[in-house]
Amino acid sequence: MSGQPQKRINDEFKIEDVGSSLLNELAKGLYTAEAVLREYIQNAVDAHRQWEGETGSRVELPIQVELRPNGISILDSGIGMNEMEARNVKAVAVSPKRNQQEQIELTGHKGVGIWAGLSFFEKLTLQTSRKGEAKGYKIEIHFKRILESISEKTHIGAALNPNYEIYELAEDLESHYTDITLTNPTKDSEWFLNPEKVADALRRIVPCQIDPNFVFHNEVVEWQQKNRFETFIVELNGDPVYRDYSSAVEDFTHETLTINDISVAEVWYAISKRKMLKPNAGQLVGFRIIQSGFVIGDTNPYSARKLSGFGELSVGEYPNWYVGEIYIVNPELRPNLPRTDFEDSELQRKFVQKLREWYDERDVYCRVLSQKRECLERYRSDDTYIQSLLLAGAPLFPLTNTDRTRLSEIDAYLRKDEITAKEDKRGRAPKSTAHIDGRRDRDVSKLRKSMLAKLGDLFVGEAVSSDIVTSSDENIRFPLEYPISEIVDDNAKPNIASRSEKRKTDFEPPSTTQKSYGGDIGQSITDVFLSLLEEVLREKLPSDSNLQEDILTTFQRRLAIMTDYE
Amino acid sequence: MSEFSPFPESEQKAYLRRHHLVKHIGPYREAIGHKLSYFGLPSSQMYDVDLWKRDLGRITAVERDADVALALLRTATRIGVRSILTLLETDITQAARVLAADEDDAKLSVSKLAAPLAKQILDARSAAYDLFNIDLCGGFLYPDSRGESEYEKLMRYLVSFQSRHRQPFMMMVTFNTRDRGINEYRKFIVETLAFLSTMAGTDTNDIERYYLAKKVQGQPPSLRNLRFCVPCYLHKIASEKFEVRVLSQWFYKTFYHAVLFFEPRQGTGLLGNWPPPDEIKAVLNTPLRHVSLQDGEIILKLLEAPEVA
Repeated sequence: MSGQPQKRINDEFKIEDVGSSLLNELAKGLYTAEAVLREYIQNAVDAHRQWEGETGSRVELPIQVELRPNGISILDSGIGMNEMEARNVKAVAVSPKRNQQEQIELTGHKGVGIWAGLSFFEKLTLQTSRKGEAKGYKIEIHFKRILESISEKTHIGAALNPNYEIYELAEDLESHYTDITLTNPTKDSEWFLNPEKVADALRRIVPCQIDPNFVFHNEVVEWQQKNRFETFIVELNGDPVYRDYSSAVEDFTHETLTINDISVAEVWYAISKRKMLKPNAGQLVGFRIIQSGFVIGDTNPYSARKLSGFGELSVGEYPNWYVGEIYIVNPELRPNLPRTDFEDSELQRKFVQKLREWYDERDVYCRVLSQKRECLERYRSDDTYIQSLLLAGAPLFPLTNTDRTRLSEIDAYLRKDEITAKEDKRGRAPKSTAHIDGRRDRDVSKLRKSMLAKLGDLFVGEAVSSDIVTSSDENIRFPLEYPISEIVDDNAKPNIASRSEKRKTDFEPPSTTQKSYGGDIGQSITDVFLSLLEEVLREKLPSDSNLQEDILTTFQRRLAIMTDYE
Repeated sequence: MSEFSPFPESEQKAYLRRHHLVKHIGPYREAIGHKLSYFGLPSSQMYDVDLWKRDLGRITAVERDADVALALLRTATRIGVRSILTLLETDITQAARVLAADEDDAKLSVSKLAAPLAKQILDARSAAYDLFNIDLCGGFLYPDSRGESEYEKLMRYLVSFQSRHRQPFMMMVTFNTRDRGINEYRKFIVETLAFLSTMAGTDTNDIERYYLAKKVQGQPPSLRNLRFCVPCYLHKIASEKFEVRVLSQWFYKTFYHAVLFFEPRQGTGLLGNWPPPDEIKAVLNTPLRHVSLQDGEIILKLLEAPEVA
């Protein structure tokens, strides 16, 4: 009771105090097949890192994943284990890695790696050797028998001890390796024995190298080296495993994500050349978050439009227009045990918020780009059409009704875009301004201006030439290759091919010198035309208007172009 | 890596590997103009593959012991051949049986196997081999309790598989002279010599005496049994489809080792040919050399046998 003297009794926890049913927690639902594989590869990667940290030299041999008739083996050529480390490998949730120097960045830190396959395989065999020691060690843990012996009546030691063995082997002094073999899958056996599924998981989740055929392979590797992001040679059944991304991308970009001016992530990405990317033939699309080489979560994490506790994304539709990787560089951002998310923290919240804002920026950019591409595509098509009219002789002949309609549509579209592009995006949500930004783009704007100018020429010329030549037959070609007398006479329609037919054949420039006008032999048709035009303009337009001169200049320029073809 | 192996390395074996590289493998590769496709039991150290790897373009290794197989995979990576290696983790005779089976039987057989092994066996039977290295620790015949011989079957399966592809190939075989089934060997020797005597009028008395003698200096009966029976048996089972020659044969420690060459037989009629006696004679007249190690040096000694005229 309160106030009474207390005497401490010597007592401590013993293995008998812990019921074996605690192991059920390790066995049930903690891991997926993919996560089990990742745990063992994490150990292999850490062994390679430790070898490098200790010797200063890279391990040139791959981390081998071998699908065997009755299981799967993961072989590394890393640091290996001495007797003490081999004995400690069985420790549950007490990772020896925790006690090592902090200079070497290791992935695993939970101490459950070796037990990850507890509910997936009948047995684990680990064989290891450390350089400089003439002994190696072989450990066998009978997972299935352990699970079978779990009960409320047995303590954890009674379940584990009979099902764990360690052996000593003679070894070469130079050997340094650890081989883990997981035998007889009891769950997801089809997954573990399926090379395609295992390869797919490996290329997504482990720090394997970027595919040498990826269009930005060199850029990514250079960026990884600059930032000291490690990759490892990983092979599955002897074939190299690469992280491959769709190469239908452009604009390789890299940037740093910061929170309060502190770097939290380094990012590289590239954007699709055309439309949304679709994963195929092992090629990845979208973004993935990587911490210590291993992926956290799935593709495009935290990009859902609605995410509990965070503001809604404006669009959230475009991450798969990109390929890219987000490397966590802040050690305070740590993954949770199954690496599906980060451990809860203030920084985690800020990072997710930051990431979502960044996704939004990518989204807007993608929409702008999409609009720009859409505009440019249509403009280029329309421009080609306009160009074909000009090459065929317009505006020195009357346009067909079809041409006029199409040109009017083009004109309307260009003018609408011009207005749209001038709109102020202030006060508008990104979703509604994306199309404006797309149309405001310099390339789009330049092409629009050039097209408007050409259209102006065409329409002005058309207005004038319509006054000169009145014909109900829209197929009549403006007559520079025929005597004007024939043309001005409504009853004398020449039997000539339609312009549309003509356009399909080689361009034949009209002659400006050989044709005569009435009886005035020797006067060039160009001169005649220009005089006629001047007359018409004088009648139709106010005398002080600059337009007269503009139109004449335009026509002279066009005629000059056309005569150049001769 | 643990160096345990049921096939301990010896200077004599190392010598023979070097010899074969220079005398057989290199020239064969040059002759056919491409790297060789290898099928064998290289064990965990893969000494043969390591030495010959420049001449090998495809490797199918068979190893049924899971620990040795794992070590083999590690070695294959270390020596840079993992990418061209298919490892069949199964019994070699079973693997050979599936290789030799026709398409439907093979599919049925592999359908019962684990997915990785099934795929590997199908890969293994996708093309013929140029080189077999069948280095078995046991004897050749070694009849089991049912009076059957696993390795005799193995040889038949391999020859059958190769005959489907009608391509030449080289086969290296190694058998321990510590064997069982002496009466089977003797019976085969007597019958083969009777065939030679009848078909070719060969005087086989001296030859029979030599092969059946209880004692010949430096040539134990079990060695003479293998010297006679292994190449003659291979000739017998292959002669319809292949001409068989013994390129070289050797005796080291307790092992008989031979290198044979199989070349598709030309002009075979629909009903097949009788085994040509001259080819059997040539097989029996191939010299056998004893390889021993004295003071760290390899010593070669010809083990003489009466010539089959």
